[in-house]
Amino acid sequence: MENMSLTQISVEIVDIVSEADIIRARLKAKVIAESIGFNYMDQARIATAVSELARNAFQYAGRGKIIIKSTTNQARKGIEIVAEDHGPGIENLELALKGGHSTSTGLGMGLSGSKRLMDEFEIQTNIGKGTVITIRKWL
Amino acid sequence: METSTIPILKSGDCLISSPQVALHDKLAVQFKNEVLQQAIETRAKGFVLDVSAIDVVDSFLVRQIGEIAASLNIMGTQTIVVGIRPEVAMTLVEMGYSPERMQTAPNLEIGLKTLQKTWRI
Amino acid sequence: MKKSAKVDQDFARPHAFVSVGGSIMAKKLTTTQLSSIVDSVQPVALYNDDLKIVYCNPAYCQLVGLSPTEIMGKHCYEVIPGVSCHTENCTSIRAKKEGKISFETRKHILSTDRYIPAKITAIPIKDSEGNMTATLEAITDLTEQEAILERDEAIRKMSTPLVDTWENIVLIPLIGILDTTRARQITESILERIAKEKSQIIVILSIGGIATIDTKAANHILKTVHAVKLMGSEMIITGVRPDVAATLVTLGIDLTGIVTRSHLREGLEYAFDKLGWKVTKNS
Repeated sequence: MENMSLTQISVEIVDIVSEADIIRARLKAKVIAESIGFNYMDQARIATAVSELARNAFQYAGRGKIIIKSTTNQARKGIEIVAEDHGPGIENLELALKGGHSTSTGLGMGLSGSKRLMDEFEIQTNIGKGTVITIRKWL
Repeated sequence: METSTIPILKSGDCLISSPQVALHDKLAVQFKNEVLQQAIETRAKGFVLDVSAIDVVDSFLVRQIGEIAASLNIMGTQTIVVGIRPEVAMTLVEMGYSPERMQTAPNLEIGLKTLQKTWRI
Repeated sequence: MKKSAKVDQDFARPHAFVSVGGSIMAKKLTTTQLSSIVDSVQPVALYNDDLKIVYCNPAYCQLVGLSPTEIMGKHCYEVIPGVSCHTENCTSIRAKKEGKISFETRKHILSTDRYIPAKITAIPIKDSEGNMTATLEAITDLTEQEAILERDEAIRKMSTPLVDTWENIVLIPLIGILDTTRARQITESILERIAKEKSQIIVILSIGGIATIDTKAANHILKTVHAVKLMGSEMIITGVRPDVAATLVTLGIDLTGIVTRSHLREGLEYAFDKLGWKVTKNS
């Protein structure tokens, strides 16, 4: 008999202050993704998206924060990751989100890449103040 | 010569490397320099990069590998990437990478054979 | 404050439930207005603040296997006990606490003699002061739904056969409908198989038997072709019918690097050629 218990909310916060933190963040994301029930393919997608966001925060803002948590939407379970930094903000958001293919370097590829890997992608950026990116994936 | 943190082996005319740890930024740059250095010193005709131990490949790593391959190419060394994991392959494609530019093989053995076939023509 | 429930014993007559001065009263309304509840095949019941059943429709009576008189005055947890009863997960308790419609799926409740998977929706009802004093619960029996899901899953599993034909040639003959879920399963099967192989293999995905493909699924398959290439093997697609070909072109889908053939035979020819095999006939 299935026990419908309240979802266990796991929250992990990773401060990105060094390159090693990028790897820590994606590992944590992978572990939480697995505990929620994502299969290995989705775990890789999630970990890669987190890696992109963490790296962007580190590269363009010097430091940032990654908040990973399990979440629910009515009956669906999922994962939500918020990447925030107090960096310079993204100047040309549209361009950055379009990304490109293998030839582009820098911000573009990572951002558009992580958007494609996830189900939901929200971004708020203020020039000079910082950026907050929220991504979600559902089981 | 200082010992590399990621071992680079030699097999005939080829260099082989199979990184077992996550290639984060400083390590990636260091690795790249060592590969290029070794390629010149040994006059390697080919480089087999075995990524079977890597579970997450983000755009940064893709760029690094691309740069290694491009630099080696200029020096006359052919690169082949082997052992890309299923979930890594799928993630890369979904992010938007086209595999056309990179030579690949299922594993080290076939990678070596493929390289050898290429310049024997 | 006394909370009393006045309900008409005759369940055949539709009633509205209004809260008047702290008590829930049954007020007669026009037949059309609440007949949807009474005549509904979905079990619906009204519980007061103590979770006593104040009203229930015939479908509810049938679900719990008791007559209206037997049900009246009993608590919901007495007639349909479930896992969440007496806990904070109880749908009605949550609805009252949060002040909004709350629901639970896959709760197993006891209906007559067996446990059934059910979806329970609880709507809180306020009294004139705004307190949540009662809840209206609607129950959906999910047994049939679950059976269908299970059967679909079984069919899906059967429908991605990886057939070893020649050495290093794997054939995947697909029939039926190709939707995103199936495309994903096919991808995982293929990539896992390639990861196990020690050599380069050629996968022939035969879609001749597919009736309909949705665009997302098609894109997913094409991505899989590229992923296979990254892993050092190759996947080609055969059985591409003229109408499918035309649709792909119309949709503007990028087919660079994708090898396709109209017939399986040509696909096999391609595979043999790639792997260095020649087929000769004894004259």
